[in-house]
Amino acid sequence: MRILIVDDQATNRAILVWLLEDDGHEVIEAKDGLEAVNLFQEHEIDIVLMDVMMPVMDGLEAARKIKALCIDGNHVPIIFLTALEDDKALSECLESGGDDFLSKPYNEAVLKAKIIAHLRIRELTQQIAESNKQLTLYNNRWQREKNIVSHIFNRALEHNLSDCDNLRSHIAPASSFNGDILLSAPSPSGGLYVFLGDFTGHGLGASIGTLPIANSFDQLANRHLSVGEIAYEFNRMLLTMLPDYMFCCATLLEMNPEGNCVQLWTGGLPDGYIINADGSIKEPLVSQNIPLGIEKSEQFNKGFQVKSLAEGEKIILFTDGIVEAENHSGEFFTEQGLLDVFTKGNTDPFSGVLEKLNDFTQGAEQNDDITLVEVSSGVVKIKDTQAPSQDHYQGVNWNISFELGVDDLQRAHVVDELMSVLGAQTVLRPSKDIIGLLLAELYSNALEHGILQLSSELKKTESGFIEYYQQREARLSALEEAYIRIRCKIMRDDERELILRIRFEDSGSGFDTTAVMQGEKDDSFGRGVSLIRKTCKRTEYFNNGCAVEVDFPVTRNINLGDS
Amino acid sequence: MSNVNVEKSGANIQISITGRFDFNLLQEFRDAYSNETDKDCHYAIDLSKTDYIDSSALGMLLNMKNHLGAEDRQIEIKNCQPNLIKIFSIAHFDKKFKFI
Repeated sequence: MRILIVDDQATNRAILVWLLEDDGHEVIEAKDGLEAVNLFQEHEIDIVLMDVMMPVMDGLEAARKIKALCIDGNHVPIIFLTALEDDKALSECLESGGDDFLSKPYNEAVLKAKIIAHLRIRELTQQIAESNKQLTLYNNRWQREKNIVSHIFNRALEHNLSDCDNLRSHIAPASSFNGDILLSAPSPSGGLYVFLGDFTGHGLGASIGTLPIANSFDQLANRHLSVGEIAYEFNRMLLTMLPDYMFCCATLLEMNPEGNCVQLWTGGLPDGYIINADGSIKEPLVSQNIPLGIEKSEQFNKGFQVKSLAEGEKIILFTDGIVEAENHSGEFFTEQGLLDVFTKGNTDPFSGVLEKLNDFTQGAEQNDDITLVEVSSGVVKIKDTQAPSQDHYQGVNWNISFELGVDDLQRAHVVDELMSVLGAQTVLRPSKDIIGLLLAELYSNALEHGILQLSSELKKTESGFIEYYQQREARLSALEEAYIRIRCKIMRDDERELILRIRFEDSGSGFDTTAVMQGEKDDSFGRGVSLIRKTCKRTEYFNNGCAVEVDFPVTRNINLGDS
Repeated sequence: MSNVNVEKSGANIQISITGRFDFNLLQEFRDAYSNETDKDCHYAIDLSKTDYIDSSALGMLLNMKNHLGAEDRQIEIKNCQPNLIKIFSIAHFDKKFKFI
């Protein structure tokens, strides 16, 4: 260690030098306070041994100056060596910044012990200063990173409809990062998707999983997947991404455009409720599946529930942060706290729950993220610009054709294969289901009546119905040469309406088209043609039924009959 | 697992269809109601797990109705997904079956 000794008596200094150098210390000498201050600035000193009464500058003033030079947590102990013995003088030593004192004549052993003790204090102080510096550094870095991450999360959660009449939500994270996630998106048919998820834990760790979900939600919604399929995709994503102990409790719903029917996938959130128009509970929505991010894809259940909603009915969903919200006495809000709100006459359950929760917690610290969501029945109204436009198709007029040979015709679910191509076209997505049905019916007609020459007459009786399909199987497997050519074209018709023109041509010898066109009453056959004619603007047979062309209005709402 | 499941409780018979409801289920679906000897049974068809129907399914449903000699809207069709509801309403099935 480097020790600065300050004394105007050369002999005193010499003794100290001799003593300390023996112990391996490096010693620097000053003969008065001023010289001490100067030397202190020139060298890195670990400890100062200071006389009190000296010419030029006394020890007290030198101590004050030296202490003032010690900044940034650099603690340099000053031990006064003094002949003074009165209490006043000793307390002055400490007040001037001294850390200890020793009366002259001093005992060597005591002096050495004091030096060791003070060096230890200096070392500890240095360690603390170093740790503090590191902490400050880490904290600054964390703040910077937190800002970046916050930005990313905020952007991700912008995948949300801000202006949908059917949706109300209250989102209160426990920290700056939210492990709860609420997403909403329009469905291509004009309905509404809502996703509410709660990741295990809260804070940044829990938030991480929300990113991939938020980013892919719009895309999945745009593909008009069922809630079960979306849940399946999310599950797959989280399974590969999250550590085993993390998962996401979630509810996913899709409301139809009319707002009177929802499809629900539920996995692990507390029971939601369907609330009657009068405020009472119509039905609890009990979770049907285990949370996302646990089940292997092969075992995942894509099934979902379907619930109808009458006018004025609402769905209330929430995360467990609400039932587990604590008040100042450490009591939980509990599920009963919620149920008490859902009573007849209380027609605004959403506000009711929030008011009751506020009254209960009285601002007590929140331990978990809280999200409350209300989805109301009624025609889905989204004012957002995010709603997909159905009207003004500006894309190119495309044309997709397929030629199916015997091998294709003998395969099951060929229409599904065609739909995997057509269904991916943005312009067709909203009416994917109906187009799938159309293709299936056109396909059955071409195959069964055109190529296989099966007669609809058979289907008039129940036993004939079965025979019809037995013959279908037999003739299909014996088929040697045949084709069906399909052309799908997106275009505008004479009325400038956007249509999908579908043309089927088959290698069969035709069939009696008038009989098929008329047979659309109560009989179990002819229904296919009836479905086609009701959904299309134009249905025209050519070449004795070997070719058929239909125009499907892509952007028009399908007439849903009487119901 | 079968795609056609029958559950009977008292005089109530519920037939659930999983996956595609088309002519491939013809025999199975027919067996689900035609083996029943008690003529006063009440039938419900649960389509919550059905993701696809085509016109042959419509035909099969009508066959069932005729076979049982059921009145209009006597047989219930439950938990229909919206895409199927579209198809049923285009075919005016709401006159023949009770949708709940």
